[in-house]
Amino acid sequence: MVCDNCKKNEAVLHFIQIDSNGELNKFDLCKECASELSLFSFGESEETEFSDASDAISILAIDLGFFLDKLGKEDTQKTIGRNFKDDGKCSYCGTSLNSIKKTGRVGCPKCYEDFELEINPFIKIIQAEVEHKGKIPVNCNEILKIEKKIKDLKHKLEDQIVVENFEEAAKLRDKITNLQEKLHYSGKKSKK
Amino acid sequence: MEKNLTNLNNNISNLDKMNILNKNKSANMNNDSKQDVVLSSSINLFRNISGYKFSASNDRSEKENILFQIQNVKNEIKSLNDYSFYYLKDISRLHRQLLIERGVISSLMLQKISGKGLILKPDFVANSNKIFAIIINEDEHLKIQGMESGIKIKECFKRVLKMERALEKKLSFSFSKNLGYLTSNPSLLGTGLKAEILVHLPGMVISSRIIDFIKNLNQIGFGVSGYIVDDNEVIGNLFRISNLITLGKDENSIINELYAISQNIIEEEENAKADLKKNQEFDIEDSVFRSFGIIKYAKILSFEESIELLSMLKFGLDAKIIDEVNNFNFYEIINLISDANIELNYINNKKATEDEIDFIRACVIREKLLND
Repeated sequence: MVCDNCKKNEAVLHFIQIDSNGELNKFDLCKECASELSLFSFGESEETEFSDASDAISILAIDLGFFLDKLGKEDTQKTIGRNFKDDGKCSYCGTSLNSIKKTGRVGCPKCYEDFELEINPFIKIIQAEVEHKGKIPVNCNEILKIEKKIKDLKHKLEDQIVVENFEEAAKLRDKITNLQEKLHYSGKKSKK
Repeated sequence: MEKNLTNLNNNISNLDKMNILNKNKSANMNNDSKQDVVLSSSINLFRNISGYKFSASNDRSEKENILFQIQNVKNEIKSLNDYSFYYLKDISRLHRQLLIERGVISSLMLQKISGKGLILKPDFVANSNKIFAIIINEDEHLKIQGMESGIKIKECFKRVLKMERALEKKLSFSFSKNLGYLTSNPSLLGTGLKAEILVHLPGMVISSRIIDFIKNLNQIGFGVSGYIVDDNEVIGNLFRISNLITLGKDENSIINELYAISQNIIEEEENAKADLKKNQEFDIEDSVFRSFGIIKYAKILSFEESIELLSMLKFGLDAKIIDEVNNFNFYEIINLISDANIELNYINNKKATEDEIDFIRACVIREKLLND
């Protein structure tokens, strides 16, 4: 898809815009034009904006590559000191950071570990937080299951404290302590 | 960047305060009007099998291993007995096209056909109101999908989750403690869950109320796109609303939030329609009757033009501006008049020209709307 602004580069950002007459327009921009039109400004100005003030713009796809490129320029200090084994390639699948930048796709589960420093800031922006709160595999190990239970109970505990239901909160606290002891025990057992 | 993140998090924690999630108002709305606004619900769960590279970087033999493994697992799962396993290469051009039109697979899946497959019920051509499927080696190893007409977000999710659990007992999915289920696309990490509703909002578009609504949706982590997924084109006032965030929320909150949004959007659209009707503007009435005129007399109609005209006509019917036409189920008619559906059902599998399809489409619409 070619950029609607310069008609030259490959478009990486896709927008639906609704103007003041309620007309719907679709447009696709390359990263240079998007930056120029200041629809996106990562860390350059105080106000990091996802949408123009006068128009409602729905962001449909943010290109990981575009982000990593930007990040590379800003956070040179962080990335310069990194010593990659094998020229910045994933130690399992061989996907390079450059290729992830280009495609916006990660090569294998190991990429998330090897490029954690580069990818996690991006994940933080597109997701709520870097902590999984959903379901866990049915066949995962006991420790993970207990940890998940503790996490869920802690969230419940916070909710109960907010509504000042201290009786329930105390019960939850005891459950958490019990599970933590169990976890401690299982942890020791699995080390043996 | 940091600020952005904080903003986003604040917005999410302020969720309950947002008007958009105000529930319990639309209880007095009947089922028909609900179905007229929310046309369909769909759930996609993305999973990858551990021990393999992700789809973009694995080779043909790895893909075939995955296909083989899934095929075996499918045969062991009782609840999948009614389902059949298909290699994508064995599905005809028209059936592939139909699967794209119904949103089961993306057109990108057809770029390389080998090593890809699907599990779905053999009656999927006739059954456009309900499709459950497992798509193998698309962008992720597995896409477990459910789609139903109307507001069926919770029901769809339940069934998709059941399918996922059955598979998970036999397979090991890539998972990390912090990032959850691992996907090649970082915007699917965590729950790997994309929940979506397809909504028809002519009242909100005409009255421009949609602008603020989309802004609010974006703030609470939901995105809006057009009807035609691959081009992201908005036609016929149809929008797809889905969650942008998959990590850091659990599945039930995503589902409940989307459900609350669907309830809210029904009410907003009904209000917009009522206000437009009250003001009785000539130009709105004019476009409803113009659409009626074209539908009544046109000999050839493209898919896009039909959807635009039907949208206005549907609006006119629902707002009681026009009554010369049979009221219709928009979702049903969209599926009925898509190119592949016309070719499969009205032209006996012979390759039809564009004009032939457009001609039949105009006939089908007339028959549906104008005949008693």
